[in-house]
Amino acid sequence: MSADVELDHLTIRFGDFTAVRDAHLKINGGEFFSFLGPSGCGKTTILRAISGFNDPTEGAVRIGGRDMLGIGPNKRQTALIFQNLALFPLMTVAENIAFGLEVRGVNKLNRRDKAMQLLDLIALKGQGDKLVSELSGGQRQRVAIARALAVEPQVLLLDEPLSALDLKLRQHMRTELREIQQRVGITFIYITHDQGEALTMSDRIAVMSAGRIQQVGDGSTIYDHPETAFVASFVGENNPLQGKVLSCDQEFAVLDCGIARMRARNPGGLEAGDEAYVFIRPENLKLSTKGDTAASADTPENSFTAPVVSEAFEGAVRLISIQGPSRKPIIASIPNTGEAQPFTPGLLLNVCFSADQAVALPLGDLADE
Amino acid sequence: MTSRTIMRLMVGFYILLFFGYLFGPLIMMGITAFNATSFPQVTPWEGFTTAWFVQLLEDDQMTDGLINSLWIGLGVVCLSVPIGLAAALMMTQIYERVRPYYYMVVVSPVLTPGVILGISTLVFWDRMGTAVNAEYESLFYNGMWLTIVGQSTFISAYCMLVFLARLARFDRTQEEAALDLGASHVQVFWKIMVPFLRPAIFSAAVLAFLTSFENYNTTVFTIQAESTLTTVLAGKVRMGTQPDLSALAVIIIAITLTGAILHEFLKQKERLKQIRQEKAAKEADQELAETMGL
Repeated sequence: MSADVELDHLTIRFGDFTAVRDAHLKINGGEFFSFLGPSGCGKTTILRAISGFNDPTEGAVRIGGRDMLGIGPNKRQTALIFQNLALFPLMTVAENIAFGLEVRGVNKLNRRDKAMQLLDLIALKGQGDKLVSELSGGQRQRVAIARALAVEPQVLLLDEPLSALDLKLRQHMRTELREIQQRVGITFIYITHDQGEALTMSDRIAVMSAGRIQQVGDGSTIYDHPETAFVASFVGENNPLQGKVLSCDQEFAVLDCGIARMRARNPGGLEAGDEAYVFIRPENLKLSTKGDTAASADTPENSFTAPVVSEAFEGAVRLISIQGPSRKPIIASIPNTGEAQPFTPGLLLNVCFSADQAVALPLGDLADE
Repeated sequence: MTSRTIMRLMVGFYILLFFGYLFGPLIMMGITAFNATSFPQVTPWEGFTTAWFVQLLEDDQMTDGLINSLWIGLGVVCLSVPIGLAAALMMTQIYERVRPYYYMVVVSPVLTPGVILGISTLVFWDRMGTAVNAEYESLFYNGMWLTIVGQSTFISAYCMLVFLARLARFDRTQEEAALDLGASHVQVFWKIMVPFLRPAIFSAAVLAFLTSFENYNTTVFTIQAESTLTTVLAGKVRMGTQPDLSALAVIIIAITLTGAILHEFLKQKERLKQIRQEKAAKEADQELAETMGL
């Protein structure tokens, strides 16, 4: 059984500090939902409010339609996987997994059965009598998942559980977590600062910054249609160019960004005279050397000439830094074909992009790089 | 002779002096326990004897005192360890701003002279006894009970310090994880907290027992008509020492040494176990990597 989770204008304060501001959203039963944001953005506080370790200052948390106020963490149908896993070091693997059943008074035989069954699920068959300290990082990860699943929660909460693993194992565990979620069919609420994790696993993502939920949507919506400057700069790579809106129609706005006029989508309803950012992703910039006519913009705007600052080789792609209007260079990425000429510093480039792939958004905090 | 050799000689001499100062009296005393002279002395050596050990065992005053000391030690352990544990747990629960003041209050008995603790215990229970018109045979005037209570006032503070040190290393998420899995607070205490604190409970108990066993300052006031080993010894020394005291010292040193060696042995075993586990974890890591084809 899975339950939906509703945050109803949830605000949580610690003294003068507001950790979560007016979070309002509904997570559907059986959904894999992620909260994505930099550390300190309030995502862990939300998770702890759902599991019952933090009380709302204002608003409410509802699980399966029921207000959770005054219901302790041990009485909620949620299970939390801690960032440090918090496995019990003095118990064996099987005892860890069966702990939730033990405190519920399930007898030893049934406990053993259930532990065996879960050990099977996490591919640790026959390792139940080992101590946690005898397991590898990836195995501990699975034990933590099994321990949480043993109590048959309706909602599983995961607090950056993969952050301690090395890269290869982390990528492997992503697919495994997704598989487990689909097999057990309960609601997963996942906290992470790693956008790769959020994008690959989640049905929907809430991007958070400074206690506020910036945007909720599925991965491609978040990536392709950011609604705030923070989301645009935090999810994926993006080049922000500040400028003033000169004119706009229903779909597009034209801005004066110093180096050129730029035409970009206008989802936020910017009006002439507004200060705004134009965001354009590195992979959407087309580069050509002077005299080369291979690439050109689809409008008279969105094209400028600027010198190369430096080039970084990343294997599959080449990242070219181009002199922009501000101190921070504009980054363009082009696929590495293995035969293209090098971009020496100082080389003048024609840079252009399509208006559909650029987005103009009101000024706001950018994610720190 | 170079300055280096002089330096070495001086260091050697210092070490010799240092250990001589530490162990000289103990060794001297140990020897006197086996000398046949009726006064504890090393020279003249009048022949090897174990008669002083026999005399010690036959000394009723001494054995009575010893038995009392053991009972009091046990009582102090039973009283101080729970109080110390409660005080330490309290420390982790109260507001951070109040902690230094709370700490000051609960540690103050350690800094108070034992004599004062003894007198105040005696006065307090006497007043209380008078107030409720208790009989002389009641607990209010019982030397054993008063000694247990009096010693526990400061020994429980020692125990608290032991528990605080251990609790500082406690990972609070363990507690939260247990709660999250449905455990009640009582279950968290017995299933998570107590197993974690077990080594500290053992250390605190040993510390409490030993401190109680050797205590004199407080005991001399609270024990009244009864006696403990320390009060008997003090009484005897006042009359002039006999080699049977040396015999007692030898027994205590032997017990302490055995305990220390045993402790070291167990610690070594624990270390080896840990190394084995770490090795197993590393192997498991490799195995996993291989099965995943990384």
